[in-house]
Amino acid sequence: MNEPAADLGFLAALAQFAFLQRAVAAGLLASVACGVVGTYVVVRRITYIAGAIAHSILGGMGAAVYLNRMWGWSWLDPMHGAVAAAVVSALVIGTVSLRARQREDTVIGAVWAIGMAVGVLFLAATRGYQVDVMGYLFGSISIVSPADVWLIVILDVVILAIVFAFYAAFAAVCFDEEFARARGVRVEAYYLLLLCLTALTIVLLVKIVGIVLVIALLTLPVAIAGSLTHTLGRMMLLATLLCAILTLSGVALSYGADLPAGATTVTLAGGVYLCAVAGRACWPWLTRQRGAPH
Amino acid sequence: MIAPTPSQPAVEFAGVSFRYDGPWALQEVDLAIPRGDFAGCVGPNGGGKSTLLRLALGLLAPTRGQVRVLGMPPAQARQRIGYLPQHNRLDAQFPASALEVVLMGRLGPKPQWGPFGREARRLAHEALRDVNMADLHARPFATLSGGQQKRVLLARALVCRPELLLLDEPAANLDIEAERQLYDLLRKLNERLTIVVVSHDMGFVSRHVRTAVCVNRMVHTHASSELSDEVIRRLYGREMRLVEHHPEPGHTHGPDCHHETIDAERK
Repeated sequence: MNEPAADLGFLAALAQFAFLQRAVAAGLLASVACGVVGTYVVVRRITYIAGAIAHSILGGMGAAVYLNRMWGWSWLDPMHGAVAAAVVSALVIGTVSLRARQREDTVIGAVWAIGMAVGVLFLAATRGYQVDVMGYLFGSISIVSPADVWLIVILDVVILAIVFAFYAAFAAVCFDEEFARARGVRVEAYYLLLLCLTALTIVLLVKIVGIVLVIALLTLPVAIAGSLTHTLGRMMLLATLLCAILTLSGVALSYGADLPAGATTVTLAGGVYLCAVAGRACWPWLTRQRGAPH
Repeated sequence: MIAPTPSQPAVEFAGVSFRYDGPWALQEVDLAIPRGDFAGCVGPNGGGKSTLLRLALGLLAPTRGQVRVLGMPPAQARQRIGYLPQHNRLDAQFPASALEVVLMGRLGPKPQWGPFGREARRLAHEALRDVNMADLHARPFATLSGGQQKRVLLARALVCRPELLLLDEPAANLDIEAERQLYDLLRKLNERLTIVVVSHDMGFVSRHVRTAVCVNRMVHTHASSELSDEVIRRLYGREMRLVEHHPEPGHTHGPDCHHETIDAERK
């Protein structure tokens, strides 16, 4: 970050600068969706679908920038394009994986790459406009606008309301699809809805850590939480807390050291995850030593 | 529509044939399992046992013929069927307590808005008591033993108060003791509901069920219990060898190849 006040302490800077306050607010608010929806992504094992959705977002953002600049659609924000691309990708992948299971990975790969390619083409075709592609790819939490914060609030509310309403059905569909289907539960509808929630959450997180790093933030806090607790609700709560702590620490550390916030956050998350895995692996060994002192 | 009456069979197949994309998985199946029965579907892997069960659940539609469950089309009967799927179809590491897993059996076509109510939780506790798991309701499902997980899943099948219980390979990956406990439970449940078990384990079926339904593309029912263990095992062994070790291209064995032997004299 090339801010003039980089030599100030983080807390002093936070009190002083609105951009930093917005960055922190965005990080904390996105953590809610991240912890809740990330838990479903991990337990339903759809991390690669999440990856494809994330990368397809560049296509939507590129198209929005192009239409905005070249066709004068000034109301169109890159975030709108991101939401549209994410939801369309989620529905395409979801439909294919429900209808033709054996082609699922091919479609995931195709959506992943085509989304990126379309995005690059649109951005290249947008003449006379310097686009911060690095910001899209690796996050740009320091340039969160007030409108972005409001968008995150709205998406948070939508995601929480839907998860609260269909909590039991989502759990049943993730745990045992065949049984849910035999009960007459509309498995396809819930699965597609879950993928749409995943898409919306990814859009939120892309603002913070960017397209490339988003899978890490979506899954690592949940993976850490999963090694500490065994029920869905507690995993969501713990993952939300962890995600909030990690993004906050990421922003604070990167501000002091003048590093990219997204990459700092994800590296931090990776470090904590590895420690959790190592701790879990060593735990039985340590307790056994204590239990049998001879 | 004819109103379902208790005199109608629990499961009824009339001229049912089914195929996925390839050859017939089931052909010309006529089957009637009366209410209160304890039936076991046996036959080699790939013989169509699970297909039979999935037709009864309405998860598959017959290519030809008609399936009735409790006198109704299977999709309508769903709310009265308790189902225990094969163990490998679910995620045993899923983060949920035993009680939460049982509550999933309360779901149906109508959406469940928000958390489950008091009545549903009461029924779930009751179902856990029925399978002797009341004390472990708060335990994470992933930390339970294979036998305990099976009983929790059985409670999930029972929590909708079914009239018919369909179990797919309930004894798979259970040790002898857990299998015996499961059977004792099923025998007790059989006092109030009809049970159909699918198993490739002839031993389990011959030890425990009243009616044997032999499935190998075609279906033959033997309305009797007490099959001769030795005869079945010998025949089943030969059948398995034939399939697994001696694939003779020119040789096709009849679909009802264990029919006669299963029919053979009992001890």
